[in-house]
Amino acid sequence: MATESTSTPNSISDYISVQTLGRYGPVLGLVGLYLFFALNTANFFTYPNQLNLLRQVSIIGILAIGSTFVILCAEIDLSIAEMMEFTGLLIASLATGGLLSSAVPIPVAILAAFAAAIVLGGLSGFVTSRFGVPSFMTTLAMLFLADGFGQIVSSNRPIIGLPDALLWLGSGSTFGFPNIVIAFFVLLALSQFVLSYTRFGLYLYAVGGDADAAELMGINVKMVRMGVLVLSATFTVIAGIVMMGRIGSATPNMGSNLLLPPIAAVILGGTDLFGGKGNMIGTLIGVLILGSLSNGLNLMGVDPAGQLVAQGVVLMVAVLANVLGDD
Amino acid sequence: MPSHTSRRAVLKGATTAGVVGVAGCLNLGSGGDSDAENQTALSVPTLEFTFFARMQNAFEAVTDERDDLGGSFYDAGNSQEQQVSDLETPISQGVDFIMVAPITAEGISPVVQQANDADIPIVTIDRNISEGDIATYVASDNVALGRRSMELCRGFMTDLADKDQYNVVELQGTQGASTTNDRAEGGSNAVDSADDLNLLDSQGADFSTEEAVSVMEDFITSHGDDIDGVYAHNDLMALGAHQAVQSADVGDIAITGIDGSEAWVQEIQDVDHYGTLAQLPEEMVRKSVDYGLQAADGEDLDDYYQIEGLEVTSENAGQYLDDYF
Repeated sequence: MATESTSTPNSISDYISVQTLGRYGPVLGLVGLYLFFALNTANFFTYPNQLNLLRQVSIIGILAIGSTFVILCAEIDLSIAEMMEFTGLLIASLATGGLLSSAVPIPVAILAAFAAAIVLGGLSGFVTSRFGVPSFMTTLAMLFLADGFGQIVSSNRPIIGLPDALLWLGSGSTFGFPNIVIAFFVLLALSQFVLSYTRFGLYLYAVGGDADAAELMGINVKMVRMGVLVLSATFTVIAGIVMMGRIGSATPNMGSNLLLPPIAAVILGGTDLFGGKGNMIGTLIGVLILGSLSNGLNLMGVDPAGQLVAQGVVLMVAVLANVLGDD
Repeated sequence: MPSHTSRRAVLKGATTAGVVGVAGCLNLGSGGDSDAENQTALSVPTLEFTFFARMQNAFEAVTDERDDLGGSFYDAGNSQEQQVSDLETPISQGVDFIMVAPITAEGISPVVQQANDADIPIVTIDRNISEGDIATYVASDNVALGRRSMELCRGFMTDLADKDQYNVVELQGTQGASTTNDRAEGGSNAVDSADDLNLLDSQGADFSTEEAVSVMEDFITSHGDDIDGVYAHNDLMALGAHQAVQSADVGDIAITGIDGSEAWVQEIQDVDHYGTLAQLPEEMVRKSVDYGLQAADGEDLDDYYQIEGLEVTSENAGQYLDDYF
C-alpha cells in the first residue's frame, strides 16, 4: 500500500474523525458521565463518594483484570463469578470450621483456595489448549462445577462469623484509604507491568493477535492459553477474599451478578473482544464507567426501572464507540 | 495412529470419571421409601436459595418420618425447561400427588395439563401457576409480609427516637419478580397508613448482599443522617445494609428484612432494632404434604392456604434458631 490516508493528518476532519472519537470513546464517555453526575447531584464529586465509588467497583475490577488477560488472548472465562463464589466459600468454611472438624488457620485456608483455583483453572486451560475445545465451552462447564462445589462446601448456607483477619483486606483501610481499593490498584499496576515488560505479556498479545503466526515464531501457544485461564482463576480468589470483607460474610449467591459486568468492563475499556489489543488502563476506565453509572443514578434517585434503561443506553453507546474506534 | 488412540483414551477416561463424579455429587437415586403406600414428588426452582434448600431438608425429613410416604426431590437449577422434564418423570410413574414451586407462573402449563389428564393432584408451594387446575396453593402472602416488615421497622424507629416524621429507605429485590412487586406493595401500604412514615428513597439491589452494600452506601451519601430505617425485601439485603451502616458511622438505624435466614437472625440476636419476617418453608412442605394426601383421597380443598410469617426480633431470635437451624 503506497498511500495510507491516516499517516499524515492535514485537515481538521482528520483529527476529529469517527475513528478518533471512537478510539477515545471510553475516556470521553467516562468524562461525560462524571460531568453529568457532578452537575446533576449534590454529592457525586465529593471525596467520600469517590471513595465509595472506588470501593464499589473494586471487586468487579479485580475480576476484570483477570478477564483482560484472557480476552487479550482471544479467549473468554465464563467461570469467574462462580469460581469467586466457590473459593470464597471454601476459605470461609475452612476458616470457620464448617468444613473440617476444626477451623484451620487463615493462611492455610487461603492457600487451599489458591490451590483449588489453580487446579480448576488449570483443568479449563488444559482441556482448552490440549484438545482445542473453545474456552467458552470449558469455562462454561467450569461455571457449573464451581457452582456445585460452592454449594457443597457451604451446605448452601451463608457463612457468618468470619475471623477479622479475613475481613481486613475487604473492609479495613490503611492511612484512611480502603484496602479493597489499594488491592485493586496494586493488582492493576502489577498486571500492566506484566503486559508491558515481560515475555509472557509479549507472547499474550502475539497469541491473541494471531495464534498461528505466534506458533510459527516458536511461542508455546498452549502454555500461554493455559496460563491466562490459570491467572484468571487466581484473581477470583483475591476477589473472593475482598468480597467477604465487603459483605461481612460469605453467601452461596455472592457471585450471582458478577458474570457479565467484568467482561463488559473489559470490552467497554477498549480491549478487542477478538484478542490482541487492549490494556489494563482501558479496563480501569471500563470499570469506572460501569461503577459511576450505577453510583450516579442511585444518587439522582432514579428508580430501578429507569436505571436499567439508562444502563442499557449507555452500554449501547459505549460499545458502538468501541467498535468504531477499531478502524 | 498412537497419538489419536491416546487422545481418545484420555477423553474417554475423563468422561467416565466425570459422569461417575457427577452422579456421586447429585446422589442419584435418592429420595425416600420407594415402596411406600403413597408416592409424591417435590420440584423447586433452584437450591441456590437457602429457602428451597430448607424445603429439600423438610421434604426428606417428612418422607423419613412417615412410613406411608415416599418420593423424589427435583432441583430445576433455575431452568424452566428442566423443571418441565423433572415433572414428567413422576407423572409417568403415576405418583399420588405432586408438589411444585414453579419457576414462572406460565412455564409449567404443559405438564400441569398432563397431570390433570392423569388425575394426579398438584399442590403449588410458594409460587402459583396461571393456567391449569391445581388442588391447592400453599404460600406466604408476600404483600402481608412486606406490610408487616415495614411496620416492624416503624416500631423500631419509634423505639430509637421520638420524632414527628420517620424516614425509611427501601431496598427492592430483583426487578419484575412478583415477590419484589408484592413486597413493595405491602411496604407502601404500611407507609400510606402511617402518618409519621416517609419513604425517602427506593432502589433495587437484586436480593444480593453485595449490591445492597453499594446501594446503601449511596443512600447514606444522598441522605446521610436523615435515614431512620431500612426496609429490605429480603434478609440478604438487610445484611448488606447492616454492613454499610456499620462502616459509615451514621448512628443507629433500624433494619428489617423478610425470610428469616440464619445469617441475618444471628445479627438480630444482638441488636434490638433489627428484625425480620420469617417465612417457614418447613411449614409449607408439611402442610402441602397433608393437603396433597387429602387431595389424593379425593377430598375438597380451599384454593389457597396461607402460611403466616413469623416475626423474629432479638427477643425470640435464639428460640427461632434453635427451632429451625
